[in-house]
Amino acid sequence: MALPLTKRVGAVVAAASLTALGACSSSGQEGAQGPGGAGPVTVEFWGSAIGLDKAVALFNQSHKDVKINYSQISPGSAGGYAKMLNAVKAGNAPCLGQVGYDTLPSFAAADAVEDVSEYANPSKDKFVPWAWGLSGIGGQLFGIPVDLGPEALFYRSDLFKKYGITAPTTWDEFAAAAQKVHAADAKAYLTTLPESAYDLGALTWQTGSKWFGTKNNAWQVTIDNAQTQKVAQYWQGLLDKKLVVSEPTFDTAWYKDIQDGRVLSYVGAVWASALIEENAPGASGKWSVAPMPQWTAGEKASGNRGGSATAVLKGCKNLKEATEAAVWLSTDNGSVTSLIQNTGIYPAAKAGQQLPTANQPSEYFGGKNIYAVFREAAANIPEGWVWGPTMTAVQPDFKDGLKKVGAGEGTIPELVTKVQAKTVSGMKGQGLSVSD
Amino acid sequence: MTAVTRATAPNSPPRGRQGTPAGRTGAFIVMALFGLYTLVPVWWLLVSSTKSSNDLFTTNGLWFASLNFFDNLVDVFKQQDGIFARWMLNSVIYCVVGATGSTILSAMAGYSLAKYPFRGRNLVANIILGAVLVPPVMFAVPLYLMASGAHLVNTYWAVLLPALVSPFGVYLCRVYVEASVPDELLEAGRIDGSSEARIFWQVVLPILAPGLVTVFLYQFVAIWSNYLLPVLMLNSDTLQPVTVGLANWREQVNGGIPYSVTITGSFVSVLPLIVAFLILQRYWRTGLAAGSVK
Repeated sequence: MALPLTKRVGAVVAAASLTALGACSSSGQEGAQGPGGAGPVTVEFWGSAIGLDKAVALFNQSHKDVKINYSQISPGSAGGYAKMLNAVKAGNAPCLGQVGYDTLPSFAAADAVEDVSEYANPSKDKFVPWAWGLSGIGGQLFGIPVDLGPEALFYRSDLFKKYGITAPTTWDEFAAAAQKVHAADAKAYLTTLPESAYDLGALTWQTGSKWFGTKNNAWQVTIDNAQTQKVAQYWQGLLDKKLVVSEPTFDTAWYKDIQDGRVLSYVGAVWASALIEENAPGASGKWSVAPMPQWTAGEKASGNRGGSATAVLKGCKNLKEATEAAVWLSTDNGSVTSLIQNTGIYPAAKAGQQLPTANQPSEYFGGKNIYAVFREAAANIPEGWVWGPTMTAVQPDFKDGLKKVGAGEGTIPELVTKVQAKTVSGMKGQGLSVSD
Repeated sequence: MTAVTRATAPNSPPRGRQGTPAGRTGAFIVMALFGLYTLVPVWWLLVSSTKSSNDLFTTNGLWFASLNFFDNLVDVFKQQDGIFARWMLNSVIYCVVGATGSTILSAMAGYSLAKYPFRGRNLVANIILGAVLVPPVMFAVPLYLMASGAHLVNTYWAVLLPALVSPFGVYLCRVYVEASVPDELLEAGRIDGSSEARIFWQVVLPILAPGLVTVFLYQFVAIWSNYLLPVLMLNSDTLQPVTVGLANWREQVNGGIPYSVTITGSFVSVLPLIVAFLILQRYWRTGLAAGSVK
């Protein structure tokens, strides 16, 4: 029972969970097997996406010896993650849980997930490679990828035409376009300032560098690297010239601004399409999607924001069955179709991205299949990115910091350096080993 | 009770008259600001619940646009096969059963702490007072581990049992009993041959009624707004109270729950609280006054 990269207190938690397991084993056994003892294996699954139960129903219809018992719990940010971690402590956690890629490392640090690479590796080729990397750390695999958030440039094609600009293909062109828009109309901005760790993370991800890593069973923190600084200086430059506006996206004011023509574009993930379509109905037919601008002309790299895996939680007794069930949910064409239709995800499975449901032209986006852009983006996202185990601290550090930068207090490059130091000391404070 | 009203009544009017006009205006402005601070979000909620998705973000947030309230309402009750009605029912069950049980338990405990001398009485009372100081959120995880050991997780009991205990209610009842139930009254009852139980139910409880309404309302609101406990305890969507359900919806705008549905649902979800307060508010006031004298 090697526990690399976990907190020192992790061992205590594990020991506590073992005792609790002993206490609950009678009922656990009951749940795991049918009345005759030879019945189907039941795999408990806690998810939060509304509509996920429909894909589970498809699984149960087509499988006789394994059944998934699905519970609809609160989303992670609304208490769902705390619930899973506590259930692991109490020894009555489900086998499977829906966990975001950014949260999976913290589950690993709390020793709340199982390494299932042994059972999952045969299915590795069915997924885009970087999603597989996000689902584990240091050669271990803690879950099966479900969905992704490849990024592209959302833009108002009608207003781009009005200001005489075309979708920028490089970040230099993007800066020039920002200048042109603001010169033509002092009230209009090409886009908003990155507002979170996940925005800045995706922009850095595109450059091929990474913020976290592992080496010799210790964490590496490289938030403050040359590429992050390049991204930070670029956006600081736009802000200094007042070419971007600092305001929170997906907020009342933002939805108003993208309809009124105050904000013309957004560098964001595929899932933003549904949000924009639903909350900015006044701009129907006026939006388009282009690949993310590049640092070097002719390249195709993109970044990712969001996405989740079906994690296999600590204490699961049927690792093989649970892993295979999770793989089926993420890869079976019927299941993926159901997930796209009912939960609005963008699939991590390569075959899933080719499905007709994942390629529906959208009237809102000018009758085009914008998903072709996102599929291309997903295929060109650099491999190797992992999130750190303390994202619940890194995210507010960046978010608050960027808000202050937007208000003129400090700069983004300074913020990156500050967050690097804070993250390292925060991780050490939690008892995680960090290599320098 | 009469002693209490007499004690406050002669004092208050002159104190009000002594204030200078400027001071009264100042006080009025401060109170008006507090009032606005409290009412503006409620007003926003009311206005927003009447808007269609189209108007929600494009029109003035504090004034009406399209009147779409009934369509929104239908959407709320149709979403996820009508689970909203179930959530409302669950909330009402947790609150009514929890607050009623907790009020009776608080009355019993408060009465015995105030009127029966026994060894360690002050220690018990102080421990309970100490528990008032601990935020209820802190209890959620230990309670979860206990419920898990007792195999109560994912049942109504997991939320109801913790709701039955209210340290603040016990404390308030004790103070209230000390202030409003004279020992002579209990003596008279005993001399007339009443059992202790009968004295409690038929003599003490009616006197306590206004204070009990206070405890009931306090606990009702506390249960209604306790979020973490049900999140941890309950797995199945059909057992959740409306607060958890709405928070889940809010996080699901990606999964096709429009903001308008969550907003209208939130508006509907505060109505029972408003009704409870309107019905019980005058007792609430009397009750608070009684506690304050002691």
